[in-house]
Amino acid sequence: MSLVQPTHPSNIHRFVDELLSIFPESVKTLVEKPLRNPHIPISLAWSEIMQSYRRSVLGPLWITLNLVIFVSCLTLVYGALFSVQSQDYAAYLACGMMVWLWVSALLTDVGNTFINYAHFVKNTPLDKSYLICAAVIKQTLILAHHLIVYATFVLLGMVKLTVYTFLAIPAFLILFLMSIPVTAIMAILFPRYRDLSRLIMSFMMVLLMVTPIFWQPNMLGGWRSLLVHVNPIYYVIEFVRSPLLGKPVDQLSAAVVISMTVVFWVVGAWAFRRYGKYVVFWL
Amino acid sequence: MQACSISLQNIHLRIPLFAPSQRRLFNKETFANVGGKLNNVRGKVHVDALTDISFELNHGEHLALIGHNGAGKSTLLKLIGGIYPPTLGRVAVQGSIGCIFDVGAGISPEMTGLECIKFQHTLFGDPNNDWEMLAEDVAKFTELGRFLELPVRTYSNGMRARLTSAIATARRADILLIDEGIGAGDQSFQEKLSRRVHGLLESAGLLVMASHSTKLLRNYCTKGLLLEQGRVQMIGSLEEVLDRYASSRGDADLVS
Repeated sequence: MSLVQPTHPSNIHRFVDELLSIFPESVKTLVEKPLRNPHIPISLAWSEIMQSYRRSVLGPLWITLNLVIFVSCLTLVYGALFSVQSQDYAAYLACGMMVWLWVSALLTDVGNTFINYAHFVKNTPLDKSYLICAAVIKQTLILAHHLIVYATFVLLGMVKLTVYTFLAIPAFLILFLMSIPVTAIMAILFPRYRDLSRLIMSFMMVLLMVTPIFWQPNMLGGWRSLLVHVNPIYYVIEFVRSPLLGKPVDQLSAAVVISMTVVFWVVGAWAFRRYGKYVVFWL
Repeated sequence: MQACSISLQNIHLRIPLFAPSQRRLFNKETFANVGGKLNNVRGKVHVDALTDISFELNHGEHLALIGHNGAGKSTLLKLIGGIYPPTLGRVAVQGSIGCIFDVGAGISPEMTGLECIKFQHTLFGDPNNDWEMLAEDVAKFTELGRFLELPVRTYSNGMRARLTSAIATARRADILLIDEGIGAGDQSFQEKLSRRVHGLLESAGLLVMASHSTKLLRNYCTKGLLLEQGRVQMIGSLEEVLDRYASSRGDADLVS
């Protein structure tokens, strides 16, 4: 378990001060403490991952292996069904699934943040913004394990690196940024409305099927293509998947994802500041 | 050490209840004396856990919260600690706060003793100190030795209590909030722990402690605050308040 310590504390602190000065007050409540003490959410996230895989031989590599098994089995079936090249299909599916797993965590897992950390919320003065960030960092760590699969694809030449590949870095960054307020919203809603998680859970499978992850969006013709275009998850997936596959990001996806991020920040920061303190009553 | 103080002005705390069959609670009048007041406003059930609480504590005062189960002692501590937001009123706290509530609950059984120490240090520790210092301190105090390298799930209850109470009492703070038992382990460890808490108190400016054990309260506190159904009945010297409490209930449950 290694903790990341800022190498030049004074520079980092000055940077954080400047960064915070441009944020409105509501955003500050959500990010100030984690930015000043990043080691706290990192260590919360890391220890949670380590603990869930403790005493298993592969440990967190199971995260990677889960994806490998899923992609291999589905490629076998769907590659044949859609009669596409297995290599291309595997890469397409794996990249889509990496993003999907993140998005599905945002819809389900992260909502349980305060419920899982109930002990901290009920018995310690630990700021809740640390817990929110820990949940997002945990998703980042999971993604890092998925990227092993991606790296293998690159090494095997199944995915071609192009100039667009580098766009994946800002794409992930925006996904990360979007996840913080979404986590805040979900983590506040889930303990308050206990039916919500069940409701969302029952739609997850459908969402996975209707979002173009197993299939290409252009396979759906006519009015049915609306199903793709009204689905916000599609844009998030496309936004990250295209650069990973070495293709340019289409402007609509970028516009939708960036506007979603802005809206989530406005709502999430407000909700956290307004309702965060009442969470303790709902646990 | 900076001067520290706690000031509460007209504090009300209303805790909403979310129970599927909330209304049925009002058919029974059986728990009239335990807990805060249950109320029903427009079909929403809530507990008035604390009502109109005002007091000030200054540097050097050690306050005991006294009252029977559900009187609001723990709730008041959590409110001072910033865990509960007051519904009305103002809480002003000056100085760093150290909460010792339910010490064992955050410990994950899969972590080793050392990992627990490191984890707790990262979350709550003094960033100016290394976690190794804390580990050394805890190791010496708990006498757990090599057991600290084993997962906590292999510990006996007593060993676990030693570890958690040692970690909880390691951190210095200006204001100490202690809820109920930090008493753990056997007699000799109890005495050791008591010395350790006294050591903590020397560097802390303020103590607020909730307990049913008069022995414990006499050991640490000088002032007393008697709570009943979330209201302050009396504030005064510890002995006065204990007397009042005893006379209001009969001596039956004041042994220990």
